[in-house]
Amino acid sequence: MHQMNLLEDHSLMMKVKEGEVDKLNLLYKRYSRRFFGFFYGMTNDGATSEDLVQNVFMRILKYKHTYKDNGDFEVWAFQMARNVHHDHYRKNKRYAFQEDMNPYEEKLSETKNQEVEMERSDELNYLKKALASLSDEKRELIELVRFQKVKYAKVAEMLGVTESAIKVRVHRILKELRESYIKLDA
Amino acid sequence: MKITKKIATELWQDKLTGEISEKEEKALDQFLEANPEVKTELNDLEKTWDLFEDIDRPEPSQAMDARFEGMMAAYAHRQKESRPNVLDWIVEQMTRSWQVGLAALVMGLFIGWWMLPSQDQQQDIQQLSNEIQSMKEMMMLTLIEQPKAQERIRAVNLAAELPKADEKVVNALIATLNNDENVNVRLASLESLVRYVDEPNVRQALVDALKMQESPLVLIAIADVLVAIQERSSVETMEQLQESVQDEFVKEKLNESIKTLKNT
Repeated sequence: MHQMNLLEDHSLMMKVKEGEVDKLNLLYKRYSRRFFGFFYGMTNDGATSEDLVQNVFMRILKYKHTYKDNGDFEVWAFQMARNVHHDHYRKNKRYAFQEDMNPYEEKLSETKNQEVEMERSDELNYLKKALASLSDEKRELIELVRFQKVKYAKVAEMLGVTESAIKVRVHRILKELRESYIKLDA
Repeated sequence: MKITKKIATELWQDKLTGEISEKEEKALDQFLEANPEVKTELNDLEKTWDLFEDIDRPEPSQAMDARFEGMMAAYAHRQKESRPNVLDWIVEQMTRSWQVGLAALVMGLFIGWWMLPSQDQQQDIQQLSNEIQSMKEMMMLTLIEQPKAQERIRAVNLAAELPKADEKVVNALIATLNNDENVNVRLASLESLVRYVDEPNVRQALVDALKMQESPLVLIAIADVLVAIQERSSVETMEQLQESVQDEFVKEKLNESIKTLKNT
């Protein structure tokens, strides 16, 4: 994300904190899709993901006073998203990762270039399966660094570990995934 | 730059996320040329990393945005409703810091002092109540001379209303108690006098009144009052009276009163 945008995120959130709540609209425009993607990656369920996005923004409003003057909105908000997901997971224990395509994915296949998809579809499907079989913790990490493109340093801040430790973890998970989907391919 | 496999892996990850410097990339490439097995491993992993790009995520429905807008509207509405009123605001300001609280206290004292009736006004009120008192006294003293017993009872009752009786009023009441021809008026004046039994002359007047009375009712009433105020000096008078009085009931009453007074 552009540095300028980051500064703006922070000043927008500071305004929200000070009571200009309508500034949250802009932050919603910038982050709601990323949160949706994050939750979709974690739950594989569109409707649930939409609920959880709503929860995140409700929490942002509720806990706006806890946002620090020197805070980083992206870190703070994704931390909030992680907590929302953990709470949801605790209540619902386990997700059934459905093998069939759900309505959200059906919409996708129409828009995709059919031929390219056919070629890589097997590999992709295996990767998806491998991803689904990862532990929640690992999938969350991949979700943050790979899909939501949160910088390693920020993920490290969220998880309370060093950047180097995050890199080691990501490296291991990539290896695990690769081995897993190669096995499926065979 | 000394590079180990661990550092190379980290640099490679920086490369994947586009955070690698030119110098670092050069060093990484050199390391990978020298270590082909690491290069093969990382190349394979890079393929996996790139493959993620093709995993598309669906878009949320429009309902999500609508719900967000709904939430914002509801929040704004709640804020409006729970906006504190002026009184809450004042209390909040006063409790927020002790300086504001102190200032409010000083202001309150000042307003109180300012609204307090002035010395002059108090004097006026005093004067007015004095005038009312003397008017009531005059009225009482006039009424007590009236031929009708009803009027005289009114006068005696009026005396009971006076906040403080002066000598004239007390004397008028004593005179009425001793001399009024009507028993009811005498009883009423006795009732009014009871309010002033703290004064020695009133007590003495009650003792003396025993000698003056003939009516059994009044005698008994006076004896009751003397017992109630524990006036022991009345015992002698009562004993004298006991011998002279004819009425048996009064005799017995006096006897009881004497006993009670002696025993206390």
